[in-house]
Amino acid sequence: MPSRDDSNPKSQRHLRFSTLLLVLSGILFLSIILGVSLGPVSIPINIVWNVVAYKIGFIPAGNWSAGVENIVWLIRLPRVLLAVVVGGGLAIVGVTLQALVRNPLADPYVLGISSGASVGAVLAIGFGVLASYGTLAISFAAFLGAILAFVLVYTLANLGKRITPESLILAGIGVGYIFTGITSYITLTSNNRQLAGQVLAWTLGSLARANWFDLSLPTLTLLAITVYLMLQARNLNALIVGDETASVLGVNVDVFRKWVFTLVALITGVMVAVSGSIGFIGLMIPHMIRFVVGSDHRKVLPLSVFVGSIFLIWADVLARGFHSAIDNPIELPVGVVTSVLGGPFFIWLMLKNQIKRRAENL
Amino acid sequence: MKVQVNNVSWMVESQRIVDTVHLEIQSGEFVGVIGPNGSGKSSLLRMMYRLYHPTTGTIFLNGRDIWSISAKEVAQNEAVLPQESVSDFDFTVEEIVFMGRTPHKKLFDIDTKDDDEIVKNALSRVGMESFAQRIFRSLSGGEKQRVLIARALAQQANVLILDEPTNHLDIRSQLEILELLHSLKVTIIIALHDLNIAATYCDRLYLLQTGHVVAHGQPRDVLTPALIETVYGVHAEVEIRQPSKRLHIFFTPKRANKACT
Repeated sequence: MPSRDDSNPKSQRHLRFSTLLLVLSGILFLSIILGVSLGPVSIPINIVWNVVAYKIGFIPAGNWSAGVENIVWLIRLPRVLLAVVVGGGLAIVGVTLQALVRNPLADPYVLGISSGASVGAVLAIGFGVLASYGTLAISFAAFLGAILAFVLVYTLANLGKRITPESLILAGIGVGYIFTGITSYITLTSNNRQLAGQVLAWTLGSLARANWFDLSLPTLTLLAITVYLMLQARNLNALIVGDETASVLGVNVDVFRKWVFTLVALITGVMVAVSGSIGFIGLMIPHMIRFVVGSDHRKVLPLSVFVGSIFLIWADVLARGFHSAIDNPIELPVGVVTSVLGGPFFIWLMLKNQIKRRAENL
Repeated sequence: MKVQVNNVSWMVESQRIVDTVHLEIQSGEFVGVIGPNGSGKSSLLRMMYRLYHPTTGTIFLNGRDIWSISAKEVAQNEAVLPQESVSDFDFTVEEIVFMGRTPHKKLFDIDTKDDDEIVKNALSRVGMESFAQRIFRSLSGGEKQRVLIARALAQQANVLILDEPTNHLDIRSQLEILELLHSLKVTIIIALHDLNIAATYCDRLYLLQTGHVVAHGQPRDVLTPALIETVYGVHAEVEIRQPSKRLHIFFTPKRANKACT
């Protein structure tokens, strides 16, 4: 006779989820190692391994060159880790926003936050605003722009004293257009002819400026917000079904939406500040995960973080590869890679899912 | 669990949608709220389940003002089937029913074996246990309502409030849903359109017109031709069938009526 747990479909699904999580952790780990190893100068994996172990203090220095050590420790590893944090961050923001406005087309940028960040960035790039912050000027200006956009969107959406999905999306789109207009105006009327190209490249996103110092804030933000959202997963489930449903299940909908929106705007601002607005991840990764495990946020949230991280590591590896392969003076913005690669992959997944559904309904 | 609505009004831009309504519902009663479209049924129910704050008056749940207790605590005592349709995101039937456990969970709580049992029981009580892994969205209207009733059962509340749960259902599904509700041992407050169904299943009725309660009491006292004419503006004949003593309401077209007289 089979034991009770074996016949319980629920325990099988739990098993499937934990297996998935385990496999993804493995892939993430391998991706990090490979991501550091691959690039214009390819570095054998065992050297990557040893340099990292040495830097952490596990083993004594080996016979590699200082150049290799610098590439691994000062350039590639922070860059790959930034991909992990930004990819995971954008994915979890996408999941949460789609639940918050109950719209599968919402992404981290629908709420105008990245447009605000762009205005900050263009001012810093074109006019040296906040130049006293040195290399951090662009990030800092972008973050301030993002916060300004958030304050505007929040205030406009809350005019009726209640933030509804509709008011949030409309306020976000409105504010987004205004800031996009401002960015275009500044760029086009500037005497600096290269500004347009620089601004476009910034907007499309890049992880090239990664360093250890820049990593700390995004990492802490991502960790804190992931933990918080995981604890709120039940409430997100109720909210995605409907405001009234959430309310009758005991969720204080108004307060919850305002608070989660504020957190999500904050993490978006941080991510955009360090990487520009990398597209695709926040919109599509949540859908990919839902195709596989359904909409339960207790599964969707953690899986999205992993898949977003892995996806961005590889997109960035390709962006670097493209750069060296055609001897291009400008590195390919990683946002270009995420969109060009992600689009077809998403369409394939969508078709597969539709075929599966049709089969189920027959 | 007693529900008391004490002189409650609800206004939107100086228009009274619900006007000084008073109701009292005892534990275990099956109470229908009837009235034409726009008579304030949904607004009244929404105040009863703490979605709308009354403009004046108070709603008491077992003697406590529902706005003096948290949404969570209200949800532990009142389960609701709102009119809202479920959004585009895919959940399995089981996941939908598990949501009924939400008000009983603290921040760090995980699902336990008890929760599993409660959900399983709820599904079997509505006859949907074999649908546990199906996608909710793919179900028929009647099946969806059954699942939502299971979610309410998983909530383990003593009061169940339903806002026209039989809308858009075929007659068999309508009757099955009402039979199912009748078999539950909880207080039921239900908004209904079909007067015959209301007469068959409800212990007591409240008849609303433009936000007022115009009549309340047993179906035979509320569903009189005169009151139906006043409130709905239609001619009706009411017959008490023997030997079941059940009320049966016929609607007669005005034109045909005139021709006969």
